[in-house]
Amino acid sequence: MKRNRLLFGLAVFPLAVWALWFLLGKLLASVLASALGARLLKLGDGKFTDPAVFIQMRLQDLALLASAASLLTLACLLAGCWFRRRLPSRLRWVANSLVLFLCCNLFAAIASHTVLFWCLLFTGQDNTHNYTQYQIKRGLMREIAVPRQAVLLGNSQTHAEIDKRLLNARLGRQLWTSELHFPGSRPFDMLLSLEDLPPVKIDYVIVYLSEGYFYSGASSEADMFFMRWRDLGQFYECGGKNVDAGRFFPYGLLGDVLPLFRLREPIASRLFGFAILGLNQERRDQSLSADLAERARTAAATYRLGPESDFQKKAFALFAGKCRERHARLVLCCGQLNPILGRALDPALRPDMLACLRDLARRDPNIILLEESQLPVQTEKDYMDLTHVDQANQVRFTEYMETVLQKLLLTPPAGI
Amino acid sequence: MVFNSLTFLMFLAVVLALYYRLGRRGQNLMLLLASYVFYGWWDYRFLALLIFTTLFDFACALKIDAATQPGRRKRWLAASIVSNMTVLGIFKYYNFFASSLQSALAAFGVHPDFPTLHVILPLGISFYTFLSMSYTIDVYRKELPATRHPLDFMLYVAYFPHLVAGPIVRASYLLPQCQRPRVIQAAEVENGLWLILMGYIKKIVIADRLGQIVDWSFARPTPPFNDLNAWIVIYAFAFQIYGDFAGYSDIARGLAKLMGFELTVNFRAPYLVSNPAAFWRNWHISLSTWLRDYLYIPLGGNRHGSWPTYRNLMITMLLGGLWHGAGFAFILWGFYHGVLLCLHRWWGQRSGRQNQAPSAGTASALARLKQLALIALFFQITCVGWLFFRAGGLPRGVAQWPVVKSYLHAMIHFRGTGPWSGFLVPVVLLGGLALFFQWQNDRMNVFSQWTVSSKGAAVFAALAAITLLGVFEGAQFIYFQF
Repeated sequence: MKRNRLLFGLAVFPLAVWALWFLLGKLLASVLASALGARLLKLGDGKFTDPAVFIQMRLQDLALLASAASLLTLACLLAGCWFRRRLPSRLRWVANSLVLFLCCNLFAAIASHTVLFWCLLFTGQDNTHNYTQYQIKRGLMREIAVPRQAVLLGNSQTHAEIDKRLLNARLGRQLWTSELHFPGSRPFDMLLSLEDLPPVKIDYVIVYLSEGYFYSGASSEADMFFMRWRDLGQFYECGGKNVDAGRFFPYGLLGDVLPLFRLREPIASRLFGFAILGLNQERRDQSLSADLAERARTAAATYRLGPESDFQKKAFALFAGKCRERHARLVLCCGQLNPILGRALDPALRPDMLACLRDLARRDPNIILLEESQLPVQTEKDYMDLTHVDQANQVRFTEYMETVLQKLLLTPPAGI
Repeated sequence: MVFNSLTFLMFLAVVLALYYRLGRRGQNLMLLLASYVFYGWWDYRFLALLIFTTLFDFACALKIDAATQPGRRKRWLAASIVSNMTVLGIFKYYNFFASSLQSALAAFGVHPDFPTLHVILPLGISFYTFLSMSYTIDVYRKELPATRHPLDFMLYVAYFPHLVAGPIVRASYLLPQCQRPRVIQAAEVENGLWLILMGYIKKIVIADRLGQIVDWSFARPTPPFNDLNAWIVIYAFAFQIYGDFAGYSDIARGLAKLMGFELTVNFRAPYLVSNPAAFWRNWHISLSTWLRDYLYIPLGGNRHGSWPTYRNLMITMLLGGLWHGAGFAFILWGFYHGVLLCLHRWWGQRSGRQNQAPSAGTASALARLKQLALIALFFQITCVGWLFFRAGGLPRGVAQWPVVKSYLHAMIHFRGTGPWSGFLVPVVLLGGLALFFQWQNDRMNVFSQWTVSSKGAAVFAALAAITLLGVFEGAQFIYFQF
């Protein structure tokens, strides 16, 4: 009797939660927004524009998480009852544990679609896992009230060159820019993350490109978070069978089946602190030479033409095609690396990259190619390391992007 | 092939599928071939060395068994010991002793030029030579008849769950299991599966996560901090090495149970003890009992008074340290534990209560509190020893002694008010988990007796912990290098 009451309670609980949300969600959100709005906006650091909408949507997330937890608990209990009747005790614990594990994965899959879950893993701008930050920004894209949206995609170079806060401060009323870069991304990863974006209207996709995207390998950590089974077709279409898939592609596929596995680094980062996850990278950095020229020579040796670069170029063409399908204009800043590294690279790389990009831009009017000669000049002194410019140059480049975007906003899109 | 790799899991699936279909002889042959594949996966060239050692000891044991004259028996035993020691000497210790001797002679103005051997250390060489050698010694002591079946003996030595990192199972324990049909019992399969899961938690959740902190801290010539963090890093290593080695032993025992074998317990609760003698009854039990039975007792043990006992303890522990690695850091670690054992023995004799632990049922609250304080104190003492041990595995280019000196300085003169690093949380959480496993050690070994709901919840928690918190980069087990 007691057990039946519990089962009934678990079944009815989601209905009650959703009824509450429909009745009181908006009211509660506006009350909370009036009390906490300014603080939330400050905490949000430009990730959202309307605190009332933000709170209302988080309450919705809460309702979703509570319902999912309740229904999955119900499913586990019912499965347990069924196993008790049908299975011998030797096998029951195996079935019970597998059902629990399955339900936990289902909950993780549902939770990872809510911004609230990711907010719980947020521990500050500089102390939060990249994927957590990405998911929060991605989720909040749906809630932006500005009529036009742009996204910054690519690796940490895009992040270092363009300051989305400055851009939003200047253009925020006409065009809202979300920064969705992922460190180490290459064209195939950008293709995956573009497909991962919510179905909102995106007007511009902005990428700061350099040789690092095409010639430094096939896989990156980003694949671990974005690769899905459905992407295997594209992987092979780009020539994936000719490249070393490394461990990140298989990890991504495993993460697609076991959402808990995909969440492990963000959750470990929350549980153990961000410091522990960065140690391996820091250890690698420590082993690098302090002399930039020496470091550039070492790094340049890993940039090469080959099946990996062909793979990335094909992926980039697919990425450009997907931008067109989404009616998003692709703004490509064909930039540079620190000239110290640029000089150490194989001289055949840059012409190869330019030829590829020019060819794409010629065939696709949706692409706006800004060549190096059009971009602000960057010298060795402007870089903090081999790839990232300092803050002063970030501001300079962002101001340049502002003028480009302003011109684009005045020009109606052609040929899409 | 390491236990924490996808290749191994596929290998295991094939081995088990074949194993359950074959009869005993077929099983033994298949397991032997699988064990050689497992070993050869790393470097097939060293298979010859493994096979040579095995067959030579097999032949020596037959000769010992057949010989009637004590002199002949002794000669064949000496041949077995010398051959094993030669193999170890060449592959593991030659370069260390040659360079040490060279440095020592240089101090007297003599500069000999000993050749350096450019050989890599064969995986698990210390384990399988000790295993094989113990067999001939047991045959010599007439504790065991020599087996007439080379296949059984080869399987005993090469059996893949224990081949590269133990436990060092005695022939008298494992060889009979190779010689008779195994009975696969459902309860033992359950226990085995749980041991494997627990082993993976210890390895890829506890050891490999904490290994990130330890490797980062020891990759630099001086400690990155001069406060309590120096202690936290050493704690991290203490739990890392426990997780790594106890995890390996659990997986090995679990795998053996799936095939109807039983390997000896190698770890109990080494960090929940209050003295060095108890520590060695709980840590790497198969090695400490090996050293006790084949070294300490033959040296005279404690039969000839105090000073010879101290001498025997020191010799045993110094050689035990050297067994771990050819380096002064390991010898110092062995020396440190030798001194601890001697001090403990001296104190025990002086106060007349050696090895006396308060019984859980009758101890008063005060006695329990005192015991807890002693456990905490002895853990700190153990951790100082781990500093020497860790210094034995520093990356190339980082000198051992400055690191040991600066860590000791930081640990002794720490500024308690220094900034706490982000290491505290992972060390407390993962170290707590390691201590929980030790605290519940007896219960962990009888998984089949748990209730259905406890089993389900525990396995779910284990799967979730491995999936969520595991490090999947297939880091080597620390003890592989020994």
